[in-house]
Amino acid sequence: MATDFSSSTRRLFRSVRRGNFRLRIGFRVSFSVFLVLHRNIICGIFCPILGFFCRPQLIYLAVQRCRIAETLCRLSISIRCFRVSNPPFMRISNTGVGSSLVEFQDLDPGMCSVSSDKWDGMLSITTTGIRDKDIHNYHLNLREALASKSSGTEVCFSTAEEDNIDDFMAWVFPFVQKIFLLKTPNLAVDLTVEHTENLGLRYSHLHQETDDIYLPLSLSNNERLLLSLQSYILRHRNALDKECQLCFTSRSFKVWNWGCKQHSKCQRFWTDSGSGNSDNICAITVLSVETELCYFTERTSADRNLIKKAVKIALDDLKAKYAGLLLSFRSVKIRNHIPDLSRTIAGLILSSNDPEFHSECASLLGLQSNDACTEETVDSCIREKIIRIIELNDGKKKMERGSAPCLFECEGHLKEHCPEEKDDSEEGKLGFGTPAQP
Amino acid sequence: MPKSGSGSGSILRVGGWKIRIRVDSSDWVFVSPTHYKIGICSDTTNVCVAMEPDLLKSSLFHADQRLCSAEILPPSQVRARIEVAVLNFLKNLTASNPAISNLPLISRKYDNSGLRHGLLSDVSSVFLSHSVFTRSLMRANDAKAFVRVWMVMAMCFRILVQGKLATQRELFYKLLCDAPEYFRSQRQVNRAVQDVVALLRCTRHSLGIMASSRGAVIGRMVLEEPGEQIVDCSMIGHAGYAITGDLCTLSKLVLHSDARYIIIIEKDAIFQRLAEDHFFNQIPCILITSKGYPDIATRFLLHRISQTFPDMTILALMDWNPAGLAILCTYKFGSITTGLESYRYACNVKWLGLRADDLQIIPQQVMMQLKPHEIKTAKSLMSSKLLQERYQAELSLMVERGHRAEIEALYCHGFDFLGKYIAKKIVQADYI
Repeated sequence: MATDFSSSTRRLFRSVRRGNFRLRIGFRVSFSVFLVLHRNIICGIFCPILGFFCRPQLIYLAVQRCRIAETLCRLSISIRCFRVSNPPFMRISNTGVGSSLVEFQDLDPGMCSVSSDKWDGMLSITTTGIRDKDIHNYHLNLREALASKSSGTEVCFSTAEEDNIDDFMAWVFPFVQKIFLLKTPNLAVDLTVEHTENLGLRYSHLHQETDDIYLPLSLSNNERLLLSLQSYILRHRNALDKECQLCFTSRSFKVWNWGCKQHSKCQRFWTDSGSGNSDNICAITVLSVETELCYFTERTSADRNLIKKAVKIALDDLKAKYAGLLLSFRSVKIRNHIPDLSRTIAGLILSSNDPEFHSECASLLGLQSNDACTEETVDSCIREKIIRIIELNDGKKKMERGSAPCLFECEGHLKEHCPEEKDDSEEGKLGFGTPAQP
Repeated sequence: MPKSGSGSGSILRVGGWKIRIRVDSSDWVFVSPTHYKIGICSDTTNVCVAMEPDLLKSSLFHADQRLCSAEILPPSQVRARIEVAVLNFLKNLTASNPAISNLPLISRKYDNSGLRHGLLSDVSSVFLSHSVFTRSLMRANDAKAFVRVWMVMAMCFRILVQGKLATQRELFYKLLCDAPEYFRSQRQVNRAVQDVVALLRCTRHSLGIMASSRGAVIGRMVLEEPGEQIVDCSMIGHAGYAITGDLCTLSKLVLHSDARYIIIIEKDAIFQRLAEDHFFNQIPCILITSKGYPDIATRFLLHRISQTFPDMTILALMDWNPAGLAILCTYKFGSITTGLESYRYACNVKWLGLRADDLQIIPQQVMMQLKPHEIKTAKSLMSSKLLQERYQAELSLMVERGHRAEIEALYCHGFDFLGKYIAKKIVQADYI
């Protein structure tokens, strides 16, 4: 049983039980990190401070426990930083079934880069559960293993490390954003950062955006990841090189490798931001694995050609499933002119005073030939049909496309095409000069 | 069957037709056109008709088959062609194997052109043949030009439906407002208009586009516009009678003249100088100018005058430079860029001056150096092998000397020298 709880800690757990989730504790230096848990949260043990908890195992454990619980979970990460405060500590809390202190025993104290004079290696762990009436508190010395079974865990961690809060937040923000992308079922994650600086209190809040994409629970991690990334691409299409304030506040979404302990086969897909610039190529490689997804990092020295080849296969599959969403640069360029063309032809049709001509056009387009057939209707009908043809022909080689029919039958010798005449060297050769007059 | 005829020298008149022959070989050559026969024989000598291969190839009969022409059509027929174009497009768009139709356009390039010599007249003209290139929406670099053709076609359709005429300048401003990203310059509009002409095979005027003319005419001619008062072109101001851009009006003019010559003047200043001096009363002539490169309306009127008065000799007074010769050749042969219709208005124009022979009366100090683009024009003119030898020689001399001379250079001999110079050359028939 906990003996050294402060009153604020008691309030924490009472608030956790009620469902609130923010704990504020001041620190003398830097920051504190709390994983505060909503009532159904299983666990979230995470502290990326100073590289100590910046290890995927902790996150993995936290997410794992959430998934095992098979109920709705919330993982809240609250970072608080004050310049002048009480002696610093970190609190990491979790509740849930199946938590085990054995997991903490596996943590390697050597991972900690905090110097021993600033951290004693002690973790204060408090456990509770949704059906629990008691709150259990333990002190875990990472150097000594403790085995226990409990329904929930809170880990408190304090440090006097004087790292730069900005560096830490620069890490944790994109990290949490990547978790968002996973769309882990039944786990909602949010990140709150409060810290004082010269201009006053700064507050940032990052939470999962809701959308209509619901992934079935039965999906494996890799399938879930693949679909989540597909969903992201489909939302952003050809603007992947642009910042999306909705999804990412930084341009860190470049190329990711999802590494795992074992990998048996690869599922990959790749998309182009549309600019044609290879620096903006967004390549996502998902390795289908037998073991659980462990970590993800930005691509470093992977074989670029292999990745390109592999993701192209997946991209072709994606293009086949979602025709028209991933067009080549050439087709995009052509497509830009289609609205003007369709509007021109629709205007031409409607400017005629020949009702037979109107009805014949309407009949060809499959429209009702009456007064309701407006220029907008005809315009959009023609536009859709032209766009469809562009999409169907996208990616096909010239030979596959075949030659389009001519507007009129031409009896003469047919040449390929004449580029836009830019030079006037023809003028002298019996061109005798292009008349400059209108 | 050979018909009998009579004549002397190298000219024989057969059945009222004038035929040039050249006695060359002992082989008979019979030319049998579709609707008449030409054959020459003689009782006493073997007179053979041999036609040069070039002449044979470029004879009227052959040229007519190869010639591709833009028709002069009434508005209803042009509208019908445009409607067919739209229907064909929609049919291909909604077919079981849907496609976006390509636009087949007659190529207006040198390699699709030729020079036809009139067998029965002295007029030679440039023509375009049937070589076609396509504009396609499926080619990313061609898509804009493709859409431009449709935009101009739609604009012309509207003009025709409203029964109006618009100039290319008006067209430019309208298109600039509707689609500024497609039409940035007058040149792009003009090219797109020529594309529509090449697509629909009808004249620009048939599309409802009026040539805005810069031309003027003065001299011994009386014009009668239907329903309007009569204009005596010898009694009007120095600016002359402004030639309208409406070819329909020009075609309805009734012309009366006692002039012997038509003189094409390159520059407006010279035109006005001669008009002021009433030069057309010293030598009975008509003066005509388009103030630079000829527009279709000026050429049309010139052609009408020459058709109405076939015995009038057409002379040209240009600066001695490649541009001047290019202008002359446009009046004489037409042009490739408007080759589908300009062949109709080719005239037998002769080069009066300035020529190399005249340089001896022009002081060296008034000669100016040829600019690089002028040398380029000269060289590409020279490479047109269809240009006659004497013109080629003049061009070579221009390039060789690297100088050019303007007509105004003659003023160093006095302001009235110009009239005397022209009169002397005409009397001496010093033109090529």
